[in-house]
Amino acid sequence: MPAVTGPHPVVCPWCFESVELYVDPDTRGLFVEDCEVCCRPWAVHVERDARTGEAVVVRVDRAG
Amino acid sequence: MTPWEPRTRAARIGDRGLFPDLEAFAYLNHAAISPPSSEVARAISAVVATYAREGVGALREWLPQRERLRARLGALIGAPPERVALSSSTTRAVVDVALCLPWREGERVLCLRGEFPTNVTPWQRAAETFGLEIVFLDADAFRTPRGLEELGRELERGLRLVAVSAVEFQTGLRMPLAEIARAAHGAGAEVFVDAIQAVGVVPLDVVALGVDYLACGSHKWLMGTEGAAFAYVREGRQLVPRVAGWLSHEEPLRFLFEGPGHLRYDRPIRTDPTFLESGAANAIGLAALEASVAILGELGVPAIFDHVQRYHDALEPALLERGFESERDPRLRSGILSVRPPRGVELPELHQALAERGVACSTPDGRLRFAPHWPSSVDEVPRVVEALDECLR
Repeated sequence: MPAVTGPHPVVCPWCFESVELYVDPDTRGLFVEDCEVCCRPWAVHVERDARTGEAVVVRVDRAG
Repeated sequence: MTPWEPRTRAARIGDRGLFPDLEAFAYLNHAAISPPSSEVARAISAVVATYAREGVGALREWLPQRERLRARLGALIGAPPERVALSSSTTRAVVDVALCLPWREGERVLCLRGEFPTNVTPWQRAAETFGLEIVFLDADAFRTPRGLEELGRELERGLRLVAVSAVEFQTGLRMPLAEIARAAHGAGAEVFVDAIQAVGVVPLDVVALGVDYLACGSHKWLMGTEGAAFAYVREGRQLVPRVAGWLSHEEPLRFLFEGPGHLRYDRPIRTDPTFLESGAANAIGLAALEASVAILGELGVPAIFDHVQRYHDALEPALLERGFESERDPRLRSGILSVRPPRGVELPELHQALAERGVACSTPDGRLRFAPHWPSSVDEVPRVVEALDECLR
C-alpha cells in the first residue's frame, strides 16, 4: 500500500490557487490542513469507495 | 406579506387556458421561445407594481423570492438549493463556468459537432485564454454505441472536460448523460451539461446522473422569459471566482443597511456557486421564472414528458406517411420531434405556410422541428396534419 494517495487536484477556498493534495491511505472523514500557498486553514473531507478503499471524493472547505 | 404567491391549480396538462392571447392554434415552438402564461404575466406585474410603489423597498419582498426560486430549480434537477446560482442566460452561465474552472495549460475539452454554439463558443474562448485544446466528436454518434466508444478513445488520450447538451437542439436526441458521466469520471474528467432543451420537459437528476456543471436558460421548456437562467455546480467542485463582482463577497449588503464601518473590500468571495450572482439581477425575469417553475413542479416533469410523447406519437406517423424522415430516437426521446422533409419540399416556404395556418414550429438546420409542451392538446394533432396537407398540396 502506498504511503500516501494522490495527487488530488483541489482549489484553495481562500486564495483559489490550484493545489495538489496527498492524503494518507487510511485517512477518511474530516481533517484540517493549511493551504501551502496562502497558509489559511482548510477543512478537508475525504470519502472512500467502500469496496476499493480508493479516495473518491476529496473536498476542501474553509476552516476557522 | 409576499406580494405574489404561485397559484398553480389552474394549470392542467393539455389545457392552454393560461395562454388566452396565444394566436397559433398549435404552438409547437417551446424549444425556441415559450409564450408566458397568465401566471407568469401576473408575477411580472407584481414585481413592477412593487418597485413602482416602494422603489428600493421592493428588495425586501423580492430578495427572499430568489431563495425560493433556487429551491424550486434545485428540486427540478435533483440538486441542493445551495448548489444553484441564478444567472441571466445559458450563455452567461456557460461563459462563467468556462472562465472559472481551475484550468491547467494543455488540458483538452471535448465539444460536440451539431450542438448549438452556446455550448461551444465559450470553451473555444477559454481555450484561447488558458491554452487549452478543443476536440470534437459528432453528437449524432451517440445514437449508437459508437458515440461512447469514440468518447472512450478521447478519454484515453486525456480529457479535462466533456461539454455536452442534455438534448440536441436540432434532432431532439437525448444524450446518454449517465453513461457519458460514468466514462468521464472513470478517466478523471468532468462533465458540463447545457440543459436548456431538457429541464422542464425531460426528467433530470444531476446527482444520480453525475453531472458536474449545468447551465439552463429560462425561456424554452422552463417557460419563463428571456434574460433569466441558472447554473448548477456539484458539491466539491470549486470554481476560481474570476468573474466575481461586488455581490460575490460574504455579507455584501452590510454596508448598505447596517450603519457606518461596514464598507470593506476584503470580505472573502463566497465559495459556493452563488458567487456567480455578481451584480444587480433581473428581478422581473427571475419572478417570471418562479411562476413558471411553480407550475412545472405542480404538474410534474415525468407527467409532462409522458404527455409530450403522446403528442409526438400522434403526429409522427402522419409525418412518416407523407415522406418525412423522423430523427426521433426510440430510446433517447425528448420534447423535440424533428423530421427531414421529403425531396422537393422547401422548408422555409413550408414553415411560412404552416405559420399562416396557425401551426408554430421551427426549422433548425434543415429540419422541421415540433416542440409541444404541457399546454399543447393532443386533440389538436389532426388539425396540424390537415394544415400540413394544405401546405404540401
